[in-house]
Amino acid sequence: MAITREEPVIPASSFQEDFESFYSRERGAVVGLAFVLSGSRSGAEDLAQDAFLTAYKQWETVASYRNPGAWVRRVVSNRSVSTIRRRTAEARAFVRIGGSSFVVPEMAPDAITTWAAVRRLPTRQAQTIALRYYDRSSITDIARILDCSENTVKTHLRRAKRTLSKQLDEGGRQ
Amino acid sequence: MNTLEDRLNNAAEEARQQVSRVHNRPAMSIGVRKRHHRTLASASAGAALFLVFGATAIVMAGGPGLDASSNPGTPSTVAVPIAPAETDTDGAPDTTTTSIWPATPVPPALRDTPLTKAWGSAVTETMQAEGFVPLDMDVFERGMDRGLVHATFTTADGNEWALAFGPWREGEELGDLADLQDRFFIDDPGQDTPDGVLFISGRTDPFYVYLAMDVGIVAVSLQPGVSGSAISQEQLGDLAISIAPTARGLIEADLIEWNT
Repeated sequence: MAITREEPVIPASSFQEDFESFYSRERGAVVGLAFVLSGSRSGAEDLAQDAFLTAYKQWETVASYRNPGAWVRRVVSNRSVSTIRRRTAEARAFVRIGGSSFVVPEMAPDAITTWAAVRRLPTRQAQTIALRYYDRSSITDIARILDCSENTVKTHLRRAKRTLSKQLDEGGRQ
Repeated sequence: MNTLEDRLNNAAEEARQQVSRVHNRPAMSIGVRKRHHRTLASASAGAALFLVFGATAIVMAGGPGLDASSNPGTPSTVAVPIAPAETDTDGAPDTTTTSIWPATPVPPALRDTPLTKAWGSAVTETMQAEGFVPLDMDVFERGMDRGLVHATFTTADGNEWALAFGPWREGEELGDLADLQDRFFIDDPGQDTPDGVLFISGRTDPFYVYLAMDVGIVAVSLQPGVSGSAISQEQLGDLAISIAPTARGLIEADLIEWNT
């Protein structure tokens, strides 16, 4: 699916928010969504910024959507799953410079394991789980963001949970 | 054992807190390391300095825009609010009304256009007004060809600086920043290369700044989400005014080891 295609995620709205307030309101959630889907804090900020820049460049159009936030989430969701290359590049650079002096607190091990398992899911299932649990999106909203039917979202959720249960249970027993 | 539902909810909450911790860190820092001219290898082995300047930092932290005229030459908190772009239909800046520039990263096709050059020139002129001398255009052109440099200038002691804005190439991988040295500062006998780079980016990630430091770059972050190319010429001028004395201050404080 094209991530920057022109048609609105949902019908246009007569209300157009200015970019600054939109950015201020949505940035945290969008960075977080990118974080859980990419597994990279640094990559998440870049992903979010790139998504917002993409929105900004066509803000007149994006702002006319009833839910510009859904549009940005779609961009981030799609781009997040392709950040493995970026993370590889980061890792390569990290080794090259001999490690970082920055200490960033990590999540609890259980959360790290859980999100790692989510990222191993098929793309749409991972996006659905991230939107549902991290972003607290409704089934309806997820369907809009991912441009699919609500039934499809439910199917993704069901299959994702089945896989996660199996993987995390197996991980717990090891 | 927690149910899967609990586990996912807990993981989500952990992630939110994590993002919040990162998001709420100090908005700006300047990374400087002692560098050895044109030798990344030795620079990597050297002691890195990571200085987080408080009130003296060039900070892009939101709030009202900088009124540089009221306090010129004083590096302090600077805000670069996002401004709507005003362009002609052909995408060029509308020079008849305002000095707002198109809010686009500099794509490859635009790197060597009058727009980009004019943008670089605006900064260069401001730098010059602050006592820096524009570098010869050959270096500028060469940097432009590589998509990195928008302006170059020379410090009073003859050291050459390049001014680069990021993201300089849409979609470019973060890790590639570490290759800046290879791509631009590569030892090139007989060629003139800048001694330093002021790298301006909307990305505030410590890792990103660290990479910039490692390749001998003074990294300056804008307000998150604002790319260098999304700010107006006027704002850029304010920014340059703020950067110039800070760069000079760093030099005078011997925080940057110059070619000796």
